Amino acid sequence: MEKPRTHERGFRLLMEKYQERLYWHVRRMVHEHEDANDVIQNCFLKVYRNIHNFERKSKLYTWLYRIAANEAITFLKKRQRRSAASLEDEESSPVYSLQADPFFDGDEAEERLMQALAELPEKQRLVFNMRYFEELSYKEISEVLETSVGALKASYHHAVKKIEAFFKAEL
Amino acid sequence: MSERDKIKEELEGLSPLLSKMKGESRHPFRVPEGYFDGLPDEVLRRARAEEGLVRDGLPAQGRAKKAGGLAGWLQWWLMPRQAIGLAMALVLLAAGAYLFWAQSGLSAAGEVLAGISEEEAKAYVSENIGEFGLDLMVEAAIVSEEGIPGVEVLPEIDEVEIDRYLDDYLEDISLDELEELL
Repeated sequence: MEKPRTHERGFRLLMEKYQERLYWHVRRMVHEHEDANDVIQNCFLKVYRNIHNFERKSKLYTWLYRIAANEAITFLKKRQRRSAASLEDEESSPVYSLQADPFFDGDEAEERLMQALAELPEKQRLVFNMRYFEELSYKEISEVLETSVGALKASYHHAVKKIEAFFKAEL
Repeated sequence: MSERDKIKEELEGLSPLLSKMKGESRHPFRVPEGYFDGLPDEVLRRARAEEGLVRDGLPAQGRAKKAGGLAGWLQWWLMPRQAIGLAMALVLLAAGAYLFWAQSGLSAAGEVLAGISEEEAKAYVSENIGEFGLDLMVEAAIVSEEGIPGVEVLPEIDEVEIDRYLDDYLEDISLDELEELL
């Protein structure tokens, strides 16, 4: 059995190496810093509890990415249910949240891009973010999301077309 | 061709507008200062707190399992949830055993009776008629749809007739005889 201090030291190293990449991945999904903070903390708590279950069948980073993506989607689904239950008002819409977020300083175009992204289904948004912002190959995305490359390409293409249509409708 | 170039080329083909936006965009999100420096400490603090909760939240179970041996095993089984479960299991086992044996007894009796002929049964009833109550005999007669030989069930008598008989009888009886009867 490993000693707790060794476990903690190893975990701290792992966090220092991957926390920023995973945080930005989550932040692009949930937008607000406070939400991203909750999600990323829950994600790393899961990693802390289950690191001994990591089977080395995939890369460590792929495994971490998968946990973060699942946590973000779970969070978004919960938020959707809450919004539906409270008959979503203006204040709970993603765009309003972004405008009120002191840690968002994007220009108008970036804000509209976030607005367009918020309208995509979670999985499609995830694929778009991983390809467009994080510049991952389809193979890497496939390993994280356990989806075929063909399905991912179709998903990304659909997402791009929907976002483009959103911008054209705004003009 | 690098992955970045592949992505750029793909995006230009799909949407020149988004491709242009990507080229001009910067990171629109920020984090509080020093956020990433404090994040590992915050997660570890929560992890330790959870571990403490797990240890404090399941003391009896944890200790009993860790204690090992017969004492630990008994301690674990005597915890309320396990004890109730064990008691219910024993009650169900006892009920099951009772039903099983009762069923076996009934079928054994049935096997013995099947070996007795009707003649033998009638002879047994006639010889031991004193041991049979009227209810039992009536019931037997109904079940078999035949009367029991040597036994006549009283015919149905109207209550008015009984009253008339008693009045006639009481008229003929003296007070002394009546007191004796009562």
